[in-house]
Amino acid sequence: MKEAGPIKKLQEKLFKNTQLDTDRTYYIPSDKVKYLIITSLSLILILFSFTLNTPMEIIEGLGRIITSPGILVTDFLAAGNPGSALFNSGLLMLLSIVIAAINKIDMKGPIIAVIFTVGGFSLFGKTPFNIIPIILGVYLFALFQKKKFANYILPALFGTALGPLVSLLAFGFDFDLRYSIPLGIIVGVAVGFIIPPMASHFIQFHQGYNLYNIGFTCGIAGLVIMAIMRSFGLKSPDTMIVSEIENIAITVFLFLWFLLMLLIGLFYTRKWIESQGKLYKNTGRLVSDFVVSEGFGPAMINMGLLGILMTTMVLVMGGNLNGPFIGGIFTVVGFGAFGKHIANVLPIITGVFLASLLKIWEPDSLVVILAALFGTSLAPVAGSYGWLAGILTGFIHLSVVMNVGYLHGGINLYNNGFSAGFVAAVLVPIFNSIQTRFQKDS
Amino acid sequence: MNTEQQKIGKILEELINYFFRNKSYDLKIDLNYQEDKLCIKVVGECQEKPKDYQELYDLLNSTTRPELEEYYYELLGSNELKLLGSLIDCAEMSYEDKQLCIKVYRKL
Repeated sequence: MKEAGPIKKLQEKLFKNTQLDTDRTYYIPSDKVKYLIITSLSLILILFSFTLNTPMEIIEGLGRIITSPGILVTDFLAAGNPGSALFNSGLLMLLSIVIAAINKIDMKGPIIAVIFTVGGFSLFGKTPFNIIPIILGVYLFALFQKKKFANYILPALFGTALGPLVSLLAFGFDFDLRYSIPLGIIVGVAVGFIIPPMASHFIQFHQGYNLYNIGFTCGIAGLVIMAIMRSFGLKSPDTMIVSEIENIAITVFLFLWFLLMLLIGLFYTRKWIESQGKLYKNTGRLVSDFVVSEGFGPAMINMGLLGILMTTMVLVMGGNLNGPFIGGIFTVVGFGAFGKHIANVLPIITGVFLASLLKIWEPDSLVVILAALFGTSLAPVAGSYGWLAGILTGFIHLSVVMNVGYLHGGINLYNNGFSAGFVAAVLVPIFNSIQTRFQKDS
Repeated sequence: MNTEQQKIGKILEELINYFFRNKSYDLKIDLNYQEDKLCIKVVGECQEKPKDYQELYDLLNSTTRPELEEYYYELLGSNELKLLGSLIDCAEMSYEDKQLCIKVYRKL
């Protein structure tokens, strides 16, 4: 029998009381340990923010962030400063973790995905001021249904996609703040109240092939809300505030942060390559909880690898690491525990990139790189129907996403999720009929 | 129809589709829906023991996950066994004399 290497010996010594899965591929850490790891990652982000700006600058930056309308695209690295943007991100990740912990939610794929999604979008849209009313609205809905808030925690946290609506009403028009702030809060609570029933209903539209289901839901809600607002002469301004500074410190930090995730994953996994090979066979369609099906260690390896790959991709495509791009990377990383992996995201990204070579948008433009990052919401299409289907999906997604933003006026942060719902709804039945036909022949 | 009844319909749809995927089409279904609990029993002739029999048993006897249930239950019916497991409290399964029997319980 082959003698265990030094790493395996160290694992066996440290984890002698930790359960293994039935195939002895990975260790199964307790929920407390998983919470500790994800919390530590968030705290590292907060600590790093203090290396970018002084505490006073961070507070001042937070003030500007919180009082900005926050509609697409408002990069908090520019609207505030890098330190305050990353502090905001880490803070809202911690808030999400605390909400999950209070409600005794297991630290598995869906919660990891939502924590990183909230963190990512806190770099360009979400603030404590604009997400709390929405979460409160969902809580009131739970009370109304006489069910536990834990049952609705995912729509509560994902539903903060409409945070900019709260900020826009509070700070985006020349209203007296004594009235506009309560107005924003009340509307936020109302929106939170209607999100859960809509979210569970709309999932049928794309059948789980769009990972950002809430993006689609909030897009529809945003469409109606913005239509009503425009009827009263309230229009959201065209906004494009984006940092163009090359921040080497952030670049280095991100690579190290994702490397840390990768190392944590390797530490909790005994069979590294075998576990990743198995993970890549997942289609990624909702509900694909990699923490449950593949193990926490393999899921973390996947997250770390996706983070490194996406960061490299942004830099190679000519982008700088601004708020929206980092937010997109965070979101892909989070969903590395809940549907996305290298084999199903690459076809989508390839399709978006190929589309940019033929269409009117430049490959290194903000919109194309964002479509590549967030278009990975459609990763399950590639996972289910193959590379060619994935490339075609990405190709079409770039066009659709550029045409739906006007409908909600930028108040729905998950614009790509909104677009992906339509793309999935159109393409999946076609791919399915083709696949079924070939299966019949064989 | 209230949400709980919709979920029950979806659970039944997922179970029936499981039997169909294993080429079992002549089914006997027994559904007992009371105020505080649900029991569904499905029995069908199945020429071979399903390859994922043990996996299904483990999934149906895993802990429920309320955070998934409310949000994703509409996906049931399209080969979502993992999601089915998050709505079921426990299950009994047997395969004898080419008869597959699955009995699931859910507290309401």
